Amino acid sequence: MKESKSIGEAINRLSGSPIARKILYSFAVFYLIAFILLPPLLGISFKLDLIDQVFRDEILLNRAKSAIMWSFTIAFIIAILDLIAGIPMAWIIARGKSNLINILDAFVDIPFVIPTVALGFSTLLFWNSNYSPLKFLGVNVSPGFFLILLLHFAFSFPVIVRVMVGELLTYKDVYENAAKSLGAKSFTVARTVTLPILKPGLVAAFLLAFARSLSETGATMIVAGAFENGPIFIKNAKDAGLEGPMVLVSFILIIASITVFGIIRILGTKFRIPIGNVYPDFEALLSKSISVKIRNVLTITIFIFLVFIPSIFITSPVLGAISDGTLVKAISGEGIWSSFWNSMILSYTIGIIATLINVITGFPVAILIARKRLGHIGSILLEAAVNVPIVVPSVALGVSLGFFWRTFSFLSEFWIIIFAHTTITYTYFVQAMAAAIEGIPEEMEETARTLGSKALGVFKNIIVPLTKYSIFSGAILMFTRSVDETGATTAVSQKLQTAPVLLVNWIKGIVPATTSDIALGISFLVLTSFISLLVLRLVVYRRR
Amino acid sequence: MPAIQLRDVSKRFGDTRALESISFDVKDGEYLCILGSTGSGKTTLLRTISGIIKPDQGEILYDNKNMKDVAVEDRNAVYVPQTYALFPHLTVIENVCFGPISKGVDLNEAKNRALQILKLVKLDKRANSYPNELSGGMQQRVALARGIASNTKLLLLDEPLGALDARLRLELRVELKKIAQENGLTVIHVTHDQEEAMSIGDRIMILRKGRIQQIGTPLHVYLSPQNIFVANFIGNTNFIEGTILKRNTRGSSIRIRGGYQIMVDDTSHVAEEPVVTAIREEKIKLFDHPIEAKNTLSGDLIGANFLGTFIRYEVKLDNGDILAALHPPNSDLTKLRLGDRVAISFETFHTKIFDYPVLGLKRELEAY
Amino acid sequence: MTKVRVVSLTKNYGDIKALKQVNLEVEEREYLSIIGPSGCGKTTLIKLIGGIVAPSSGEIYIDEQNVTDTPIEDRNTGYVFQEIALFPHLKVNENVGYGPLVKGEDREVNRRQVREMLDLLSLEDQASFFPVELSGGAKQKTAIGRALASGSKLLLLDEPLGMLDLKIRNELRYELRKLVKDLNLTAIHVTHDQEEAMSISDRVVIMKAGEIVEVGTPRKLYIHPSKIFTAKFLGEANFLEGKVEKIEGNYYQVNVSGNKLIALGEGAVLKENEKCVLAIRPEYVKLNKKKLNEINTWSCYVINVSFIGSTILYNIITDTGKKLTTKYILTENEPDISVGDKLYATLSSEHLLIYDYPHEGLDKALDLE
Repeated sequence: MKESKSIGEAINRLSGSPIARKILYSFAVFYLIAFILLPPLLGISFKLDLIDQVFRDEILLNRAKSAIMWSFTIAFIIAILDLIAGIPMAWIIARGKSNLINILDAFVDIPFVIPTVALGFSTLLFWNSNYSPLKFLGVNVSPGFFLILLLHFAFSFPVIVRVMVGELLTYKDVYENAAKSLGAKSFTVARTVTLPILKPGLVAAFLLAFARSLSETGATMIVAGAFENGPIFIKNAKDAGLEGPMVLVSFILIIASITVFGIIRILGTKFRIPIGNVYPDFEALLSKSISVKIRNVLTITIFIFLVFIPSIFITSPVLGAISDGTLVKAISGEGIWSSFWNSMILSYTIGIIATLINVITGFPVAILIARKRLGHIGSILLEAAVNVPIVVPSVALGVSLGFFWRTFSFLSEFWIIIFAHTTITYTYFVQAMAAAIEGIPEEMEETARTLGSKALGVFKNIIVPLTKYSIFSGAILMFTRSVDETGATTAVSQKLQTAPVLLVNWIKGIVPATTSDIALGISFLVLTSFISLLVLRLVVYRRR
Repeated sequence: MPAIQLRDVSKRFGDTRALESISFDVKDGEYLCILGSTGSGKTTLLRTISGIIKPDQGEILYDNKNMKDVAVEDRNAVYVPQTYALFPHLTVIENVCFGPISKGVDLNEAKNRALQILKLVKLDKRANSYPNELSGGMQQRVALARGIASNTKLLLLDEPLGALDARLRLELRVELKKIAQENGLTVIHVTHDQEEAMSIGDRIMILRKGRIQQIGTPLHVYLSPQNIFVANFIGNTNFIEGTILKRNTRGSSIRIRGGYQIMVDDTSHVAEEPVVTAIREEKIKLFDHPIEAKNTLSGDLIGANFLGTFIRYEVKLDNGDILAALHPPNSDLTKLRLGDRVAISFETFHTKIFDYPVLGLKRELEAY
Repeated sequence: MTKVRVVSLTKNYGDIKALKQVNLEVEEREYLSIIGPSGCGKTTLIKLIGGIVAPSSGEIYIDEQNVTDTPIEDRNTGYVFQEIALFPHLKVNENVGYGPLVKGEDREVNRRQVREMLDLLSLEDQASFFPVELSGGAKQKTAIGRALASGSKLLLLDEPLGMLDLKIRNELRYELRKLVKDLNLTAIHVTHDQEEAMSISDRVVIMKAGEIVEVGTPRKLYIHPSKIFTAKFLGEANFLEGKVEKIEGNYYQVNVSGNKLIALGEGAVLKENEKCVLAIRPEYVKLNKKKLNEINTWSCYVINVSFIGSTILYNIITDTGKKLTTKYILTENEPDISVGDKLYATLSSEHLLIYDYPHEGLDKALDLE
């Protein structure tokens, strides 16, 4: 006991030394560059010599071109549509006063918590079921372009709502009061003041929805049918053993998405939302409480039929699975179920290890970003580096990471998957932590130091307690992302199967499974994600 | 027992020169107020002394010891930012114990001492409250107690009363000085409130654009301002532009706008030199009838504002210049109405003459 | 004519009673200030008048129209916020032109109105600046211009100068009054700065704990405050506890720990043998080296001297142990008084204010927080 105290003190004293701190930060930045940033960029470049096989095959080349084009087109359409549908929803949640808002708030996140594979399957089932509103109109939605649009709309929706709710809650309503006191009606206020001021949030929301759509693979491949966008093309090429096209499309997707993001980021700050003329009578009409009610009903209807029900429709065959004996089979681990449980254990192990690695290596980077320790330009570069993994389409990322890590022959497949998962989830944690640390006034740290606290003391007694909630929620987010991840894992894995990868094989019929099997398997994955979320949340609340 | 010395300290942020060649001493147990506007560099100076900011150049000495390589946490100088930076997740007593515990003091011992100090600032009953449950004045006292508990002898206060209501500020500045004196602290206190600085500072220092303008006792700075900026910043001052007409051994005469003449007892400027004459507002006498005396000018009353101790009268002189005069409200001037003809006069020995500034008077009075 | 009238206005936030049955009338073209310590309800009151917050009960009239249920955007008040709240995405001229714009004003008319307003505030040079590029004072002027360009004759100012440096604040306050008077506006100005309130207002409202304590001209409230809290909050004062011994006409003879003090208590309603509180402003306690007077004169020692420019404060302690603050006005040269000097302090009878002893206790009655 005494010894541990003196060791603690020695570490504490060491933390006062600028050199020790520099070493720690350098290590974290080195990890970021070597393990997060470079692998996806380098991996693909190892195999660039393979791409000329594509240029010799015109049919393949045209397929690749159209796939890439469709990826960006879909992502653009989706980001716009979700912005239009998501802003009123965010408004309802952020400004509504009814208690029902809390339920709505929780429901919005549903497409986010359900593993993408499940989401894809659920969407497929719903739009082909008798409950589909389109079927009601006599339209059959078969797998393909239109179903992809419906799916992407659903899973990008929560991203927009989350970002905009956050923006609206931190937004000072004094601007709105100021505008109103000058005679502006509420619609006019939103159009000319609130949204223009929240422009950075709108750009961020747009980019995230765009990225989600561009990147998503696991769910898309279930509803794609014969249609190909970038990730599906890569997946198909991989299945057909065509490395060249896979490398080419991955390469183009990586470069193009980084470029597009860079451009939107830069233009986003330059561009001003035009205000134009105000038409007081027309805008007053739109501001009337009846107009607002109509808008709200419309928004919630769209959410329920295009987002909510398609996402949870998967639960309907589960009831059948309980009565037809699939549940007993599953619990006893008969037949295909024994490999299912092994996959689940594998997924959770990977999730935990990847989360731990990221918490340790990501925290110092979050501090560097939040406190702008590397100066203005350094911080911008660091932030850009951290963002690379979520900007790059996950399957392309997976392909590249696979190439990169397999060059280290001593690494087992298990560790390769872990490294891939740390890359994919890193951004979420660092961004959440950086925002949380930025919320702590730097003066608080400075004051603590003038009171005699060494850097470690400040970290332990000020930063950690004040960001506890963010650390836990960041960890939860990473963990569930890792467990649910499909696209990149498909691309990286060879023999090992995580649960989502296994479920894809079930759905695609590669392994013979009944609808009951599939529904139940997905429910287990969802359920365990839910429970782990719940447990972690309880821990957070109790410690508070 | 810290005596603080700064030797030629400079700091730049990009192109902005935040501090330029700052040198001054603070004596052990002294209460120094640094006075300046937003952007004058006063907060930067305070943070540089604490070690949070590293100077580009120059030395900072605590008790003759160079602090260059001494880390912030080892300087034993407590910085209290304007927001107080109380730790929101800790109770009042935990906040006060933070310093001692960081330095490895036993928990019980730290708590006992913290309670004593909380008694001193009359907050022992709120020991288990959280900072957000306290009023602004109480929070300010917790920040002070937290500093004292860390056994520091040097407090660096950044606008410690700035977040409080004006009336409460008057009350608490007296208390602040008292606590500092009773605990034998050396205090450097940054503010933009000249009255606050003058009423509690043993000495005051005026900072503008990162440069020291003057340092001295409040009385000294008030009576002998070194330049126009200081004369304007400290006290309420009228400035009259003019040219020296004649000078002799007892004083000079100055020609002001409109060809009028005034007499001053300054003899340091020669004829034809453009100058600025400064006269404190409370030294200008106002009359509701024409009078015969030296330095008498007439004009119209254009403003009368009640300030409590004073009424501030604004007079537009016949030459277009505007002067203000402070008078106690019990005088018979209260019958005056705006637009009335009035006369003003002042003594030759209540004037102070400055060279006319190269960039013009208006520019010289600006803080930036 | 009455511009603004509030009747029995009450506002509760949960269990907290922010405003209790407040009645107030503001005359047309009047400059009225509302002051009080934080939490007294002054901000709630102006927000209710502006329509930013809805009252729990009571009524608000503007130009004799009941506007209690009128939404903020239809009240046509010019509101200046403490946070200034210039629209950060709009330039100075666009901020000022926002009111006319949302009312559908013709572009040409709008442009002209903006130009006139910027001229009036001498902001022409900064018309195309964004708010972040402005100094504190220019920001505040823009906010005032924005509030006025909408054509309102009622200006509601919620701590409009609170964010500025003292020096600029003092300059701007006179400009503000001048503007209001020149344009024939009615202004309601909330502040916590007593000097600001006194210097620019026709009348001042003092509030405490959700209620109006006293309303009057600055001069009346400073020199003859009817309430003990007014004496405390507006300006500084010494307070002495005592007991009424004798009443002769308007003169009260009060026993303060064995010493006799005579106070001119016009309008006071105290009986003999009642406990009372005497208050006197520091500038009405005169210090002399010789005993010039028998009445109301105590011998004392100087314990502290602080020089604050136009005045010098002397803290003294009397032979009976009373601590008083006295203020010397420096219209002449500074007197030769230093710490430790033995002097005589005379408390001027006509400036000694006399009050009932507050039932809640003196400390509580004078509490500023």
